[in-house]
This record gives sequence, structure tokens and C-alpha cells, in this order.
Amino acid sequence: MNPFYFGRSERPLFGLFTRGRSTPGGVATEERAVLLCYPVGPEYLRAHRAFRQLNQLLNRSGFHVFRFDYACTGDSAGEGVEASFDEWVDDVDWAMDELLDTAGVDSFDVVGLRWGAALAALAARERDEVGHMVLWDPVVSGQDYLDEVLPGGGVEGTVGIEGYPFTAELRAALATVDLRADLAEGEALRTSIIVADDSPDVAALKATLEGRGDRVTLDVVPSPGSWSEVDPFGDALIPQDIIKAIVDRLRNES
Amino acid sequence: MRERALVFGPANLVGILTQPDPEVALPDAPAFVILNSGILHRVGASRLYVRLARTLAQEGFTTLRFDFSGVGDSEVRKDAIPVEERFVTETREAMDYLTATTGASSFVVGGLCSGADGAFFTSLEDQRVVGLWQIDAFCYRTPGYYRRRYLPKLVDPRAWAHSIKVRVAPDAEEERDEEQFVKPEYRRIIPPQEVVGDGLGSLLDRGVALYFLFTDGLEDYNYAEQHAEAFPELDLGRRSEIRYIPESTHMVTGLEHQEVFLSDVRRWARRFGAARREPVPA
Repeated sequence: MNPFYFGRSERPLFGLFTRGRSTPGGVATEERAVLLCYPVGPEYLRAHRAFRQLNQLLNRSGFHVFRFDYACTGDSAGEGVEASFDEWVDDVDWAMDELLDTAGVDSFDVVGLRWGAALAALAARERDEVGHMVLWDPVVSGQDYLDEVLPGGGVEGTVGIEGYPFTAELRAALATVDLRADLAEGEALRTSIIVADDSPDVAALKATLEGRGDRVTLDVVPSPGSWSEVDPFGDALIPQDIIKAIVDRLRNES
Repeated sequence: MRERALVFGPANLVGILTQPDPEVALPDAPAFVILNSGILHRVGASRLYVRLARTLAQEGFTTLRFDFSGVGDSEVRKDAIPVEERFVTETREAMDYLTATTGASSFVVGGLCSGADGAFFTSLEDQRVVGLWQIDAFCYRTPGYYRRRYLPKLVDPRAWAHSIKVRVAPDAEEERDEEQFVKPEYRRIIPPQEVVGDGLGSLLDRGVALYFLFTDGLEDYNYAEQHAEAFPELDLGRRSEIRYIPESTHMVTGLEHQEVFLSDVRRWARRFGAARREPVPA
């Protein structure tokens, strides 16, 4: 396990790299690596344990894994009120470079959860090293996300969403994101969409990706709990079946 | 301010060391060690631990916030130390690491909920601890608690109606939601009140500075003076700092409540700028 800071010197990002292990069931024929992209806000804390578990399962399957915190989140530099969506997309780009360098590979897979899925997909548009992209319960529409976490809307300035500041600028940037339109162009990828619940948004996203040439599968893996629900004592959400489904997709279809 | 990611100690614990800029660093000041809250990793609830470490760096203090074995990014411990001893053992390993790498010889420990518990027990066992801060520490109901808890309901007919409804018809929706979430592995065990009272008394006798923040997230706490009144012989109201934020959640999710806490600890920490080990006057 190798935790370290990387990226811009003025605003370093925290990352954690773990090497894959060669096991009887693991992938040993060639080195493969995966970048994990967290969700943001309260969902980040709620998902950390699930990411650790996904990380471990991928390592056991032979994958090198790199996960990191976007600027102004987690252990990375920056205060929450300084967070910028464009910078987060740029951070994913930095992390992709870091993974290539640290793992010593020429290509990698990427898994993103919720906003992490959106950020990964947006960053991957310009990258030709991405082999397989897994979008896990992706936020398809930023406006729909805001309507869910801030029902009624009508707020101004910085608001706290379960302890995390969302400035007016950040909310405005999130509101403009719509993967159904934003991913209409870009590198064609092997893409897996894995969700706990099917929805018209997800079907539309699949159609968008197919339209640009992606080879897309959509798996609905019913799973208890919801990322946007919050436990007053900070409980984690660990959707075991989805985590296993992600590992299976990456092992079997790259 | 400089932040460094590290793996330390015999259990390979993952932590972040936050150090002040050299021009503001306080010589001979204690280092701060921040302990996990339940299964939340070292960033803390609402990223509060990150902000606290950076606030303390502005004041000249070094801070190590880390993950206990099996929590956050730290691997499960492979030696034979029993689970119940790991809080104290690993906190002391964090202090040993700081001594070896920064020269710190005294420490301020703290955390939220189970982090508060671990900090309390470490403080009792390790004489190097000179300060203890706790969010939602062990607390005990007092006559004042019961008066505030039940008296308003006795005179409010709406409360009676709610009470009857709950008794005859548990909220099915709420029960179903409860079953859907993975539960934390940490189960808090509250020691007898006299044990905690004796412990706090010994810390005060040693000159350990105490800061407590209580939120409204604990069912057992409901007024500012409750902690002091629970231990009248200790005179905590005068010999420690106690803050109660009636509107705050256990996770301190209110942005304004986070600012209150950070401002409190910033001010409280300034006492450690110069070495002090005198007992707090009784």
C-alpha cells in the first residue's frame, strides 16, 4: 500500500496505490490497472468503505488499483468552499497520468460511483488509454441530483449538504452536467453501466454512449440502501452484490 | 502548512501528518493526535478532522490523524493484540511515531464518539497526554436532564398523542429502512459513571486540559451544564471547557456548528503554546 500526494504542487491530491496480487483466481497474464473515482459530498464518506472493499477484491484479482481524493475533498488540499467541478474533471486527468506512471501500464480501466462516474466519463472523453469504463449508479443529470439533495431549491450562497459546503458556483456548475448530452462525443469505449435501480435516465445514457460507438452493457443489480440517504451516525453503505458485479465485469470483459 | 501521507508503526497504519510552516511552528509544543470515529476514516465526519488539523497548523501545532487497524485504509492488524486494547495501543504507536520523527514529547488527543472514548482511555494510561478534547464524550443523565426531557411533554398534549401513536403503531417505513443499511462494527459501551468520574478526576490532577463538545445527536444529553452537573465533585464547569450546541447533529453537519468547534479548539489549543503541566486548580 502506498499513500502519497501527487498532481499540482499548489494544490496536491491525495492518492492511494495498491498492487495487484497474483492469485490462482487472479489475472496474471498481463498487468492491469484500475482507477477508482469516488462520489462527492456526503456520499464520499458513505462510500469509502465500499471502495476499500472493491479495491481489495480487485487486488486479489490481479489488478493494480489507484484511488484518490479530488481537490477540496477528503485528504486532498483545498477547502470545501473552494471546490470546482472543472477542477475535479482535471483532477481525474491528473490521476490517470499518475496511475499510468505508478503502475507502469499503457492502459487502464476506470470505475466511478455517482458523481465519480460523471467525472470519470467526462475525463475519459479525451483519453485513449482507457480500456473499460464502469459507471456505477451514475449521476446522469446534475439538476436532478440537486433537486434530490436540495428539495425545493431556492437557496442562495453556500449551503451545507449534510456537513459539506456546496457554493452557488459549484451548484451552478453541477446543474449544467447532463451526461446524455455531454457524452455524445468522445473516445468510444467498452462501457459497463451497473445500477441498483433501472431508470429512464440510465437507459438514455446507454443510448447516448451507444450512439458514439461505445460497446455498452447495462446491469441492474438490486441492492439495499441509497447513496443519498444519510445515517446520523455515519454508517457506511456497502452494496456487496454490485461490488462483486463490477469485479466480474472487469475480470471477464476487458 | 505541509501535509504528508504515511504508513507507520508495527501495524502499518495509514495517516496524514500535518505540520505548520516553520515560521509559525511552536517549539516544544505538544502534537495533536486525532482518532477515528467509528468506521469513518481519518478525514472525519463532514471532513472535520482535516479542517481541524489545518487550523491547528495555523496555530503552530503538528497533527497526526490516522486510521486504526481495520478502519479506513489501514489493514487489519496481524499480531495478537486484543481488539479492545487496540485503541490505546495504536494511539500510543502514533505518539511514538511522532516522538521519533518530530521530537514531540507531549500530546493532545481527541475525537468524536468512539474517537472520544479512545482518547479518554489513552489519556488515562499515558502520562504524555497533556490535553484531551472530545465530541460527544461519555455522558450521564442528571436530574436536570430528566426535567428538560420529560417536563415539557407532560404539559404538551401533542406529545401525548405522539407517544400513544408510537406505542401502538411503530413506524413501518422507519423499521424497513433500519434493516437496509449495513451497521457499523463499533458498538459503544458506556462505562459506569463513577469510573468516568474517577478518570476525569485523575486527568485534572495531572494537569490535563479538557475540552468537551456535546451535540444534540445523543439522546442522553440535553443542556449545557449537564456534564458538569453529572460530576459535581470535579467542578468541570470551572476546570474544563464545555460547549453544548443544542441544534447540532452528532456528526456536526451544520456548517456554522463546525465553525464553532474549530474556533473553540483554536482558542483552547493556544494554552499549549508554552509548556504547562501544572494541575488544574480544584
